[in-house]
Amino acid sequence: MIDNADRRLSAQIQMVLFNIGPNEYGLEVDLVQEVIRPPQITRAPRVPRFIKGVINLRGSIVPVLDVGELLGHRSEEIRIYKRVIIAHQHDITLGLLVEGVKEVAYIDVSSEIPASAEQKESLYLKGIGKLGERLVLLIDLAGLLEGVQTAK
Amino acid sequence: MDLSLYSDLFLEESREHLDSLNDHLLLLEKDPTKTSVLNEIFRSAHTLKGMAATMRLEKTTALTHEMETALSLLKEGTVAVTPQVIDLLLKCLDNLHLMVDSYAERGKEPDISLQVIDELRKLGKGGQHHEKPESNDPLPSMAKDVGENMHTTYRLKIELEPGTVMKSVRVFMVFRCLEQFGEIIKCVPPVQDLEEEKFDNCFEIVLLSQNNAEKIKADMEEISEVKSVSLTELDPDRSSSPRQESAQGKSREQMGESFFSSQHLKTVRVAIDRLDSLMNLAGELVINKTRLQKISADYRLEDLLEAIEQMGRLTNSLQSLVMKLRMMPIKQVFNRFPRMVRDLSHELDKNVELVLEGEETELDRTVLDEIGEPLVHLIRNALDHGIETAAVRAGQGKPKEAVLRLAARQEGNNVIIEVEDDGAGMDIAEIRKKAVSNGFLTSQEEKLLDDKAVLGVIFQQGFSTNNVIDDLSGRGIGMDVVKSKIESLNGAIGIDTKAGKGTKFSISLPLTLAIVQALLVAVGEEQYAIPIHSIEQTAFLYPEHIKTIQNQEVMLLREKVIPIVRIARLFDVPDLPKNEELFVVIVRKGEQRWGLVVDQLVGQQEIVIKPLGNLLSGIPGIAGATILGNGQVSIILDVNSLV
Repeated sequence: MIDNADRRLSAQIQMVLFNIGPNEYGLEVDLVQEVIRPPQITRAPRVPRFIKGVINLRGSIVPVLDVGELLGHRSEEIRIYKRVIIAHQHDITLGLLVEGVKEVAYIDVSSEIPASAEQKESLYLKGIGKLGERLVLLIDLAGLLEGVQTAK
Repeated sequence: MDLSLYSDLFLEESREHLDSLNDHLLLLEKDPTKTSVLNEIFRSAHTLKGMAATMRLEKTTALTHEMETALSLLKEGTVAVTPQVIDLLLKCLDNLHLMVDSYAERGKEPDISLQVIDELRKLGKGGQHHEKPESNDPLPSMAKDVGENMHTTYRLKIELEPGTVMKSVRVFMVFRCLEQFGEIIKCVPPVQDLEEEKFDNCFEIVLLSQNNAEKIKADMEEISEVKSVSLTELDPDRSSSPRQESAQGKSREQMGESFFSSQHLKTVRVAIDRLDSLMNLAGELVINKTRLQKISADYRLEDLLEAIEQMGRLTNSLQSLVMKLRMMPIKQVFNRFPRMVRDLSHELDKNVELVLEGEETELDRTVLDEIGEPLVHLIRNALDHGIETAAVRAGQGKPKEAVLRLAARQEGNNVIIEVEDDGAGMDIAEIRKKAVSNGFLTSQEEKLLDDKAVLGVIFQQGFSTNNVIDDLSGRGIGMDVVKSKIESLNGAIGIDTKAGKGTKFSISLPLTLAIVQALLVAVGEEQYAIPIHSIEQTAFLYPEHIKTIQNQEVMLLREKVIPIVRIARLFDVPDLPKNEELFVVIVRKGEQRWGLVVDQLVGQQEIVIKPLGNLLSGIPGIAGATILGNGQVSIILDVNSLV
């Protein structure tokens, strides 16, 4: 299967790599504004569970998402979030809670979504990438935002 | 040259001139003999013509040209300033507004025929006039001065105001202006350099023209930011020694009067979003100061504490200054009403004097933008239904001329706007009857409620005054819209009326939408902010005093049953403590009262409202968030959509 994917390699994209649970994910570097340590999060009432609340990012209010929850990871998994990735798409700025940010790297990307990805997860992924032997799942931020809007 | 580069500048300037035309035309109507007002009108029309020609707006140019011709007849006294003339000129102004708006939206003039031009031309018929009104005939009367087909060569030296921002625009306007007089033979420095602004403030042009020097000079000086124009005749046949005329002295004098006066030069236009970010930064500074304060207190650093206190004073004044920058005088909104009242009272054949008070009262830009529409509604209603015709007024022994008062003033953190007429007022007995017969009040309620409460039905949707309209003042059309608009601005509206004497509407608005007084409350570990303007009172509440009626928890407050909502339950607040006593915040939601049950009242403070962002907008019950002094975010409740 890896051999197949190899042939489908389409492009090299610069990605911010981070992990949640057992998986490694990537987000295009253009979409990332900065990475911060989690500040105090104020819970926002009447929102879906995966919206953890809002933070004060130098005077602006920014919503923070629990990506693990949104991706359908089992909730009994204990996730210790050590970083928030501040990302933006169009006029929306949001924070993604992640366990750790590893590096920024150019990775080879194919548009294939791995068969192992769960149904829910695949909605918010737009491909798979490879960095050496490591597999990286590519987050589809636009799809993710759409998912948030529908869930609301 | 690409004209679109200058369209913003053109729009801004032409709107200023249109406003000035409006004001001065109304002044002229009051005092037709005032030549200074007439001169001002003429100047505006003329400048507009120049600008429109520059932008190649043919209809606008033609119309302003005709206006100018008509105005010069008025100046000469050939035609008298009658109400009909003013009407006509106002009609021209409306047309100009149409054209400028159309240019703003679509980048071109609208497809309309300008009948006013014919009417303007008729003005001159019969009177002796020096200028033929046809616009396609370029100023033929001037030919007399220089002789038939005799061209004169002029050398013009043009100096722009120091600090002119877009010199190339002015150069362009100068060229357009001169082209209507004749042919430009040469310019120094060359056109290319002028376009690229590669010159100081002076340039020279050689012009071949049939017109006389005064006319050219006068027109040139009307161009904004042209400091001086000097004109030298080069034609040896016309005069042996070159005639030099320095316009310096005269132009200074004119500058003082024109809108490019010193006052104008002291102001700067700033985009509102820049002010917003400036305010954000100032807010951040305050928050950071609080943090520093805490650190120095924790480590007992006396010196640092002192320095921070000083910084605190500075940040506070910075913040209030930034707030002030967003404030604009309400005059901006009031400006349009003299014209509206004039037109409506003519139309309705009523005699009304509009009195404006407190035009200098300042309001936040965002509030200002929204308040015009409800005011138009109230004024229209007052003229339509409140104020009687002159005949009726005379019959009742009232002065023939009705007074409509529009007043603004500041009271604490609010601005009060009053719309008051001395018209017919409302018959409360009649309103009571209608409210009951149309099902807005039960007959029981009607008996219990006092007059003020009964008047509240006027603001209810669908309280049709149509059947009331014949016998009493008949207000109420769209009053629910007025009320909801004002409430959306965190304001309130009240009525005071006396049958036969008149009606007064009082609107109270917050100075700004960005900052509100709020009560901070604690629910469990969380803190929420409730805007003070929606709070009626706060009280203790013992859990055992909460009763349940038809699945709705209620409490008794001064023998009145008030439904209550537990914020903790509504918002699923975790980690709730067991409380012996609770607090209840009584809030108004329209005419209704609700009790919001919370654990603690934390205190009252000024908060800056920030939006939750596009992702979280539209959550019912939440108006936004604010950042508290310690940097923590607190959610602001929106009482109107909470339950």
